[in-house]
Amino acid sequence: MQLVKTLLFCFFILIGSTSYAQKTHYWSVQPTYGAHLIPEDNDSLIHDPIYGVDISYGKQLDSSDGKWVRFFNAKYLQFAFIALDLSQLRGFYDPNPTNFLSNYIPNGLGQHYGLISSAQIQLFQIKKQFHAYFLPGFGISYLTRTYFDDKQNRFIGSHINYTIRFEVLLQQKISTNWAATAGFNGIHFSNGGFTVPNAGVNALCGKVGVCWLVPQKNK
Amino acid sequence: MQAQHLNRSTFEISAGGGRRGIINSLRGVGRATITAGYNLRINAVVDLKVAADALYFDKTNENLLKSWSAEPWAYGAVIGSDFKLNRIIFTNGVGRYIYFASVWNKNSPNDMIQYYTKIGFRYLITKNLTAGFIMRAHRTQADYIDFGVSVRF
Repeated sequence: MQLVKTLLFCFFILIGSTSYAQKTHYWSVQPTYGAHLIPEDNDSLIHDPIYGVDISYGKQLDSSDGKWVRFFNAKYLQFAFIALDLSQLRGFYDPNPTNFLSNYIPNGLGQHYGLISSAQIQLFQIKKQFHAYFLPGFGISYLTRTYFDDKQNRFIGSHINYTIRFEVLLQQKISTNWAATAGFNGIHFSNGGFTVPNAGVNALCGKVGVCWLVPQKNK
Repeated sequence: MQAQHLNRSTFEISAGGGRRGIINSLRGVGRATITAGYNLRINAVVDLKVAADALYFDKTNENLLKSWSAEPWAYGAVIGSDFKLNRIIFTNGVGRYIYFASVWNKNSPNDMIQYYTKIGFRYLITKNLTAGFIMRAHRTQADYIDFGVSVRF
């Protein structure tokens, strides 16, 4: 429970560390499709399909939010809820006993729900219509099945995990208040060794969706 | 809520502890780290860090002895950086063991663990005091998450 409380504390501190003046914000919904990344000898790095959805809220930043905003060219602070279906994540079997990545789980890893806080850093823009962003993010997540539910699962030993996500997001405005989005991300979650086994899960996901740019109210 | 970081280079002493799980069990054993270092201020956002770590391994469980340190203390030197995001500090570093009685290294002399990484977040409580967590890892394998406080002066 100490791990849970501390991660929640840090996540909400991160949320609360920015002042909230009246600024532009957005909501976006993006279905996600990806794959489990695990290096099997003499075979592909990519295994097992992953389906999900990403619901994000972005709050615009400006120079009043701190010197780091200008330093990193951060445009938004994003809070995302992600749901990933890992029921088809089965891993692989290697008879070599020294290969600690060898885990085969016929029943899959269950469902993964996460909250991620990210800085939305602008890489470049074209005529204020097309924007490319990089989003490093950190958060917490809940996984429905662990090693203690299925002893063949050596990926994850706990329900509560931390999540790290690095994302590239492209946004094309299609009207005054709407934009089309597409992106891809690498996501990792594990528990930092709090409960073992803890090999962790890495996934590469792509997504497309729409974004509602909430009109700025007159002050 | 304005950041109140000291506008100069600082010395920093930190202490923290955490838990490393035991295989096939919901229990764990303790880990702790005491760190002393110097933060070189580059600008209002970035500090570069050099530090020395004293790492404590709880030896109360024999399972752990088989996988990590044969002795309770190990020592390392760390270089890294801090990124100050208002009161949130993203901290990271790479450490090299100066002394580590690793059972892994003894059994695998051609595949020795000599380095570790540290990555985490701290919250600036006052201009001199921070609290947060740092994850320590060997290669891609997490060792433990250290919850602790640091004093900057």
